[in-house]
Amino acid sequence: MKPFSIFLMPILLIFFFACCTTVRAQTATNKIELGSFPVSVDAKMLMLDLQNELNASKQTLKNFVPSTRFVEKYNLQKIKGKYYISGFIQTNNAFSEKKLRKIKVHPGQPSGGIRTVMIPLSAFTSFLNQKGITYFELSKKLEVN
Amino acid sequence: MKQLNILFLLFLAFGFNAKAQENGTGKTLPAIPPATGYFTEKDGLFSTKGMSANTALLLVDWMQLNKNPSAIGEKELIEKYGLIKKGGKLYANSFLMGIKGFTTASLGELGVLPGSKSGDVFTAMLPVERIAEIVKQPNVRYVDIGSVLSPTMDSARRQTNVDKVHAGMAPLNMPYTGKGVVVGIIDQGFDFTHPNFYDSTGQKNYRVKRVWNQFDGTGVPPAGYAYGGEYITEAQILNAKADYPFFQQISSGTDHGTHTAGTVAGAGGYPGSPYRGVAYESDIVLVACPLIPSTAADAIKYIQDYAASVGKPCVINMSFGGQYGPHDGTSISDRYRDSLAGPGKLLAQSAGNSGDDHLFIDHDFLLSNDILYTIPVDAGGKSQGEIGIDIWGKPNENFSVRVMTLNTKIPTIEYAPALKFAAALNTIIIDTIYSTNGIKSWAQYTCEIDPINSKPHVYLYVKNNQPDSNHKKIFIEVSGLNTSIQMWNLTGTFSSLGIAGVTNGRTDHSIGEGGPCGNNVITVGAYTSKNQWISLFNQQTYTPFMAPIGEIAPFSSIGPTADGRTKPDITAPGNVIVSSVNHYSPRYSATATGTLKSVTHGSDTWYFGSMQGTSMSCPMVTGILALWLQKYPNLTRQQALDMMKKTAITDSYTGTIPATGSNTWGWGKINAFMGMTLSVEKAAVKNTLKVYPNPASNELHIAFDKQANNTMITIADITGKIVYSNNVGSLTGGSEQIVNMGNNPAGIYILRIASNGEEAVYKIVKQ
Repeated sequence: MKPFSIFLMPILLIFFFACCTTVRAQTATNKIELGSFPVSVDAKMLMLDLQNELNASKQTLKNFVPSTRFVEKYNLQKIKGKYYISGFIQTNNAFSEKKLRKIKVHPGQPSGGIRTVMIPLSAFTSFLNQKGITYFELSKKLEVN
Repeated sequence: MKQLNILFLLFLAFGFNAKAQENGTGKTLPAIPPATGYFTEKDGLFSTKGMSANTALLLVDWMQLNKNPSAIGEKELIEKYGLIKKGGKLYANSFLMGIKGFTTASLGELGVLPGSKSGDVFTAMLPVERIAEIVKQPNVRYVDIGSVLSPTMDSARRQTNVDKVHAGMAPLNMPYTGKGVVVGIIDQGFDFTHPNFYDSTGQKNYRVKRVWNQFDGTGVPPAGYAYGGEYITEAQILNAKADYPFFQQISSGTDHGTHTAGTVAGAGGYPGSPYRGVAYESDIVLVACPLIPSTAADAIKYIQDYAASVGKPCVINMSFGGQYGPHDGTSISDRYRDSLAGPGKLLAQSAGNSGDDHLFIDHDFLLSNDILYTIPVDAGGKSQGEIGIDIWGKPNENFSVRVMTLNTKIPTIEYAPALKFAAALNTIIIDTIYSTNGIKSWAQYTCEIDPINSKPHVYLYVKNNQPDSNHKKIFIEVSGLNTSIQMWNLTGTFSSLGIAGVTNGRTDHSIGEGGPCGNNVITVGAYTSKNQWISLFNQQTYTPFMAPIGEIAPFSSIGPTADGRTKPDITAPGNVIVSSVNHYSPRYSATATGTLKSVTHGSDTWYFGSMQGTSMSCPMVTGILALWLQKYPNLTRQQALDMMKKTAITDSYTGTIPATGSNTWGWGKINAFMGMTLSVEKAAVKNTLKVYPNPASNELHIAFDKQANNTMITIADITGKIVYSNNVGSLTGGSEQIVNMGNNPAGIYILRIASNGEEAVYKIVKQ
């Protein structure tokens, strides 16, 4: 067996560090960063892709129009011209439905400390900093079988 | 000559019949020459003793085929008698009755393939060339090859004993039809106007009570929700016509919901229809859903809230799923759904159609140099395009992954990153695995310790843009120390491609995610209920997933869950089912091979068509749960599961179900009737009764331990005929009722005692 090419190693490492996305401690308003609670793996992927698309488009999140591929990959729902991310949140006693609604997130009915949520893409960074949420799980599309 | 005699007589018989019809009422028949004798057995080609007429006709045609193939072809014979060709031989799916102690296994030397047994009737596949011999066996009393049926709801209802529940056969005290129960269907591809959703006339008493069309971006959402449109009145629902215009993709989804809803609750679409569903008098709530777990969860709540608002129990059908997730019921979406189930609120979900996909690998890492290698491939054996792999470890442990490229022609590793990426990294890494001449391929590692179940988790997303012709396959390496992993290929399967030391995928653990692995759902696998039919356009058609009748459907997903729970819970007919389809979708036309029946009301025509999948078996179980809920409105998932465990049908296909259940069959094939009977027997009243002696000769004693109010005692014979009935009113604890059985002939009787709003049923043997 032939090992990987040595000359590719520096390129790999540069690319590796450039692309590593711990998405923490960033302050710019157009940065997609983890906030006060952990999120599921595919939510992290969404964050990374969203950051990349935002960077490429040079738009702010408020005005951002995601690509068709992004919409399909993350099952965004378009309602009255706005794109929404769907998922579940686990909450604790500090959770405030009122505060969530204030940033235009639509929480569903609670059951067992869990709620469904529909988050406007434009409010995603604000959502990630909400108090009282202990976990966010992005909903991945299912298929009829 | 003898054959000519038969044909001549048949000709005469048909001739006379036709003549009689031609003459009509009021005209006198011409003189008929008197018979000169009787056509006897010795005049025939062979003895038809011990066989049905259809069996005899098959044998006549079989002889014709062998003597003169131009007269009748093999294809024609297959169509006419529903034969199956296997290993070059023709088989007839048949019923057999034998003498005491008979089993179909005793006919193995004659090539008989045993099926199931019910009472003293056996099913088996008989080689047509040996039927004449089989009939002559001393231990065989009767052979019936049956007749060709369409793959209708009728056969599925019969196989699950739903027809007996509809008929209210003893010991049931009434027909059960789902009346008073809300059935919810979360799906897509609904034709709200289909006649199947009315009563059995197909035109009256529309039964869809609510629709939430989550695709409707312009409608008014239900209270408490921010999306979709809710249709409340019959006029609103019918005006909306279908959810299909909102998603406009021609796929299996465009008819799916109309089909599943029809199986759960359709009334047939026209009088006398064989396509009647299971809970055909239930109230229907439809939610057209984009199949996103959170919106499906909202749909569950919506349906349950409607049912609560009208004071009715409900059961919800979900014929969808995926493979992304831990497969152990710990996902937050599973936990949300689990919390929604409860007494009178049941959830049923399809197991998935991955039973023949080698998409799973697990591995125990014991030594430091123990490494797992595998190659993700698609159906064509290629390792291209988008590849998704989900890898989970054990709580609070760790493992590492790297994605390489393997040239399978040499074979050589052509690329390997220097680093392995550990789940505990809790980060996302993108690594270019190939970049030449503008073609770039990369692997994205999303690593975490899942905060919900503490399992190490890596989701691999690989985009391989290299042409398959260069033989560069994606090559996955997973390593760990003293730990274990489970991994699923979300986009294909795992293969060794014949390379030593590389691991193939397996088909177990293929139960879907997105619900079926939940703790409070009833998960449904599929078995083969019909494998061929004649379409509306008169085309002989076969299921694309050919299997003998009664055998597990090849696609039915296999358990267990990642945490070792038995799944599926139960199986039902699902390969294939005919039900209503969406007449706004172009997939089922009058000439489509999957279309079996049309129904026209006014100027509109709707169709019934075939589909297969666990999507189709799940609605059978959902409908049956609705029947059970009609009887027991507070039925829980555990009670329903107990009923299934104790009464499910087992046969030569299921084999003996282990005490812990089967990861192919669950607890067997659902039995709507016996399940309902058992539930009656399990009623609390039985614990306060003592019935003796049994067998009984003359007097049958019924002792009541506790106060019993509104007590009614009835005894029926095996045909359901009531032979004793006594409304004894209120009885004090310690009292006894004595029934004189002396005048009844010996046999089996069903004793039913209704008291305190509950019932107990006993099988009594009269000597």
